[in-house]
Amino acid sequence: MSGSLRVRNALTNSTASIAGALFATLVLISISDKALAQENEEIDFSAALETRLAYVITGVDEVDRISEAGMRGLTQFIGSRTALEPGDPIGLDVEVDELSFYSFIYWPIDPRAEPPSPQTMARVDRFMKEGGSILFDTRDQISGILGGTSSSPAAQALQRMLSTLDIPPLEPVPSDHVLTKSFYLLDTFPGRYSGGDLWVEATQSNDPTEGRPARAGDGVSSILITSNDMAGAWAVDNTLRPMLPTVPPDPAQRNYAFRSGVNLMMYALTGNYKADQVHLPALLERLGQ
Amino acid sequence: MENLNLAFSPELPLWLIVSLSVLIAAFCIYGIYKQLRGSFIRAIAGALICLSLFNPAILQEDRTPLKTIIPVVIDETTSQRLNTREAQTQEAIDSLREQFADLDKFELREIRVRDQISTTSDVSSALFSAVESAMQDVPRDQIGGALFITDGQVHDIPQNPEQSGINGPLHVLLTGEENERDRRIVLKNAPRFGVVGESQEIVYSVEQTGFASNSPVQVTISIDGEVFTVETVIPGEDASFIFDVPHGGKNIIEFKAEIADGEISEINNQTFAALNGIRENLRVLLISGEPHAGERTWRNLLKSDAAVDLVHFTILRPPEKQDGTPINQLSLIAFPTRELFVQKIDEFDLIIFDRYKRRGVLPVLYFDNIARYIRDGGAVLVAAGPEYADVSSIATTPLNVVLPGLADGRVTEEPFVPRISETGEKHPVTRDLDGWNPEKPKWSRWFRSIGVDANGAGETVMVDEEDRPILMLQRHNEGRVALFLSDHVWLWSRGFEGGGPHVQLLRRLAHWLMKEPELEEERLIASSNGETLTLERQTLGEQPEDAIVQSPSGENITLSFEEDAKGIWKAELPVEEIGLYRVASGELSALAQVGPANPRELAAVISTSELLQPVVDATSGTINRISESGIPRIVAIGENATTSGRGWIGLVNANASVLNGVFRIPLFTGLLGLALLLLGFAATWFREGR
Repeated sequence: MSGSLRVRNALTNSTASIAGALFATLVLISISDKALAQENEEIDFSAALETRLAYVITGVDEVDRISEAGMRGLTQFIGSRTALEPGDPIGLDVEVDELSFYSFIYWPIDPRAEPPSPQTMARVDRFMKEGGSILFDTRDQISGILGGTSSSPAAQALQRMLSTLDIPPLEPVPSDHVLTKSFYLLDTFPGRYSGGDLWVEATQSNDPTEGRPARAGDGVSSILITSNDMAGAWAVDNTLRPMLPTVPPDPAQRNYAFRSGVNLMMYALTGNYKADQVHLPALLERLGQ
Repeated sequence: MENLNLAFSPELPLWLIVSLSVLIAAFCIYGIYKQLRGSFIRAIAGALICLSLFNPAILQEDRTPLKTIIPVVIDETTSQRLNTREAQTQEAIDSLREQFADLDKFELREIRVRDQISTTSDVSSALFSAVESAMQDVPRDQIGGALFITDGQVHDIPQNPEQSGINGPLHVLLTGEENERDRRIVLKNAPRFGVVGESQEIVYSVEQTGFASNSPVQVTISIDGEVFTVETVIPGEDASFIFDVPHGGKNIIEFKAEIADGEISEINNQTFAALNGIRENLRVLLISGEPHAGERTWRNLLKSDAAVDLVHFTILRPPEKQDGTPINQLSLIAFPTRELFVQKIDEFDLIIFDRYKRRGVLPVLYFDNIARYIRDGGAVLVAAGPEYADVSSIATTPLNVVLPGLADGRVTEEPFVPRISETGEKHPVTRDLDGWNPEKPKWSRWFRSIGVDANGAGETVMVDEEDRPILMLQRHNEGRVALFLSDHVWLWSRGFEGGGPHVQLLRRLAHWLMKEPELEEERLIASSNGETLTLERQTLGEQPEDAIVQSPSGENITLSFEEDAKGIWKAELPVEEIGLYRVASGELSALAQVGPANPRELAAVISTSELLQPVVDATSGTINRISESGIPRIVAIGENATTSGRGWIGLVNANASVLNGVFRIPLFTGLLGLALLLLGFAATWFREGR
């Protein structure tokens, strides 16, 4: 983490220096220049060494504070209940930070945040195509209900952002999806709110006549969208007490929000592992015959 | 004066000449009837006039006589090399050359027919088509017969004996002896593909010619050059050989019938079938010690491999973290450790410990069993993370005796570019890895490596920039172990800094562990395209031992290898003989087939007149067995004359010639015609004037 801060500070504070300006320009005009990346010894590779929960820094302080606290809460929950023991959470600047170290990134959407540049969205697109998953959270399930439509300001901001990307068809998590069984058995994925659906890439139809193009890799959805304010439910203070109440105030809902977080993380790390295990008894049976 | 012809070319229309002649004739007949004086002479003069109108001429052709061409087809195929046949053939050729030297009307044209080696064509003794192609430039009427020197096993005898394309009598000089005996083995049904480990059936039979009794024969069956079984079969009856396909790639199954006394050919007592083994249902057990970023890389690699059945377990919740959540709210199943590591461990071709950490999940006793499984031919890959260096390391279990290196406690967490070691450049797992070049590999950096004390028995194929091992491979008897000392290969799959060849590397690694023949470090491959035998030697060492190639007829040729690429050595040998070539280089051996597996050339080798008899009869030719009647005398005969007799065979003197030009001598023109006419009329006038 300190390494990443160092890089960012170097970028923001020393723009007057020729080297810094040159460096920033180069990053902008040749993001994919691997030779440059190789020479960039300052890279923060701590996230490659241990799994860290990552969130996108929006620039809106209160959102980022909750995101950070949420990741901390979820890190603590995952570490105490599963074999995965994540390191400290990390906030990402999607414009400059190396994304390929992460399998899963939490991205809260706030209409006040600066919309990302096309270059940034290209980086995001590459991240998703190389096997990473992003959970976009519009955190507005309540306002969505009040507004009666999905066109809340945050949802619109998300739509604008995603319009530059090639987004496959989405569907609410079907009841047989791996996400419902990647660690806990779940049928809803609540956060502070419980009314919103979790949207994922539509699973491939079993009907071969439909001729949908085969998806690369293991079919892990590269994009997930919720409006339930997940980080809000996960957020804890320094004494590990919840920072925000759930709506409605129900301890069970918070528990399910954490479980949703565990399943999301396991899904991102183990892929369709749990979908496979349905066939395991038959496979073991066949062994030795 | 030969070639003289009389020709007429009238100067006036025919009807005019005829009517004029009729007029003259009538006039003359009237004179003779009236007995007028001089009528007879007048008639002669009139006849001369008429004749001169027909303008007769004498034609003379100028011709050069041509020699009659006799094709002599010499069968030089493999079956003609048996026994004394080669000597008999030479005797026949010498005699023919001598005789034709004296017969100046004949020209001898020698046509030699060799085996046509190819993997597709099975017609090697193609004598008739050889005649046809060799005589294309000769007009048919210049050919006065044909001579074949063969053992009678000809593969392109025309169905209809009348259409043999031979002009004149076909005389056969038959090599070999009458009543030859031969035993041969024939494959009736041999599958070309089979799944490794599943049983396959090859149907074969022993065929005999010229044997008095039909007593059982012993057949020795070898797989890849090693005797597998000896069976006893009755000649003429189908027997079947059932076996389990031993390995992937080419399996060569040889059948060898015992050799009887006085057999004309021993080569066809053996034959072979090449069966391509297909590996499927390789079973891989992947144990991930915890959910981590690299897990999906391993999973996806193994899931996308059609030959692999993956059994995957991830330890999602270690025993110490049970928190009282009701089991019906959890999607966790118990890890069936006893079933996997005790009862069914031998069913797996490969066990991968992916960042496995001892957490009291597997009893120590089970690791003893895993070590035993490796020595018995199993394979284990340890993809180590930092846990390998601490107290919960898998290297602290009884498995440590088979691991190529034990942790020295050092975990280096700094960027480095993984490199291929010198050994690795020759090793099939890492050779020519996409993006590799010694100066600057085109792949991303990794950030962690685990230090080990190598036991020295393994091969280190990948290293970091300080030559510390990253990927180590080791064999234990039949078993194999690999130790991957960085958990960062997943960075390549995520496209970090452009990624790297993770699929290629990991797939080769897994398949090397599962004994894929193509990835053997020391390997000898022999292959042929019909004309050249190519030997490829894969080795981690220096100049490999010379190869000894044994041809189907037992001749030994020594070849030395030349380096083709790092770890690859090659040698080539042009081949003419069809059959199975055995190659040995040091302890390695390989088999290669040249030509079809069961060539017709060797299937039937008995010297016989039966096959050619119909064609010979149709052309009024003869079949002469050299061993009995010697080489017959060649006699030139006329057309439609008798074509053979005691001790001689006739070839038609076609009397062909070339027309150079024609001379024409007109009879009634010029001085001669004028003189004759004047004489006629003068005589008439003189007679009348008396």
